[in-house]
Amino acid sequence: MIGLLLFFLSFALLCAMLAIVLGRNLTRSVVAGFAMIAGLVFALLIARGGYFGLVVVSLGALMLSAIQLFGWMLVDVDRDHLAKMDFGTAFARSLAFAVFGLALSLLGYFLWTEGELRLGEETLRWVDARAVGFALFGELGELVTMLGFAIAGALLSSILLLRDDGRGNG
Amino acid sequence: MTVESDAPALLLIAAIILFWIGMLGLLWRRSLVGMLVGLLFAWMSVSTGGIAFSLMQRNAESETHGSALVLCIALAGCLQIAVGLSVVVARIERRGTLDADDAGLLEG
Repeated sequence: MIGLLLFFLSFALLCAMLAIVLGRNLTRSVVAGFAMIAGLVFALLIARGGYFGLVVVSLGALMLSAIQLFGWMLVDVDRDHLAKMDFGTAFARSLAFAVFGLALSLLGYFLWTEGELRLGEETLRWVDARAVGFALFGELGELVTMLGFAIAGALLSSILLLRDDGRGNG
Repeated sequence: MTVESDAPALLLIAAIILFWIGMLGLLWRRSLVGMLVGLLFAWMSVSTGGIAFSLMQRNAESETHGSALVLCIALAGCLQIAVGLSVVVARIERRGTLDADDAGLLEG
């Protein structure tokens, strides 16, 4: 059963990646999204996610349908007719994505190796959220959390205050 | 390896990866509709994470808390997609494009 669960989870993640990568074609993207939801349904059923698992995937399918409906109303079915991204923007977005992925990978790695999320052990059942901060930053975990809140607040304030003329110079 | 003991961890790891993919959609795509799909994936990953944490603590009280959390997240997700689609429709009516870069101007 674990093998089946792994298979459906991998299928769902692959379809999710395809839905993003096949972005210039809305129909293909939405179909891949629905396939992802189907994979997730089976994975949650095997994992005994219960009633709320089904609620989540049903709502997800409903929302994807709404996006599909509005997408078909708003854009050409085959293409969304946007110009190709310039090199600087593509590079900056790739870098942001890579940093984000690295942070999440580190989080998963430390969760795994520090004993909070090892398969088949009793510690699996009790994951302390503070342990993540401690695993990543040691004694400075709480300070880093406060720093994170401060940075998030500053970024939000900057976004709210930022105004440009819409011609790409801001 | 049994489903009972290992499924929550696998679901949690899958949720982290799915969140990553959703963020890829938000960071990479220029189409507002495509960004909404990325947002949907991120929302589903958070809900899956909630279910995984609920499965980790199999007792009546924590299961109720986990379920309530998942329902709240589901409600918030529905609202955000409804509002997001309304914004996209209004945006296209005013500017005639789906380009997110064109939406950089904050019209307050």
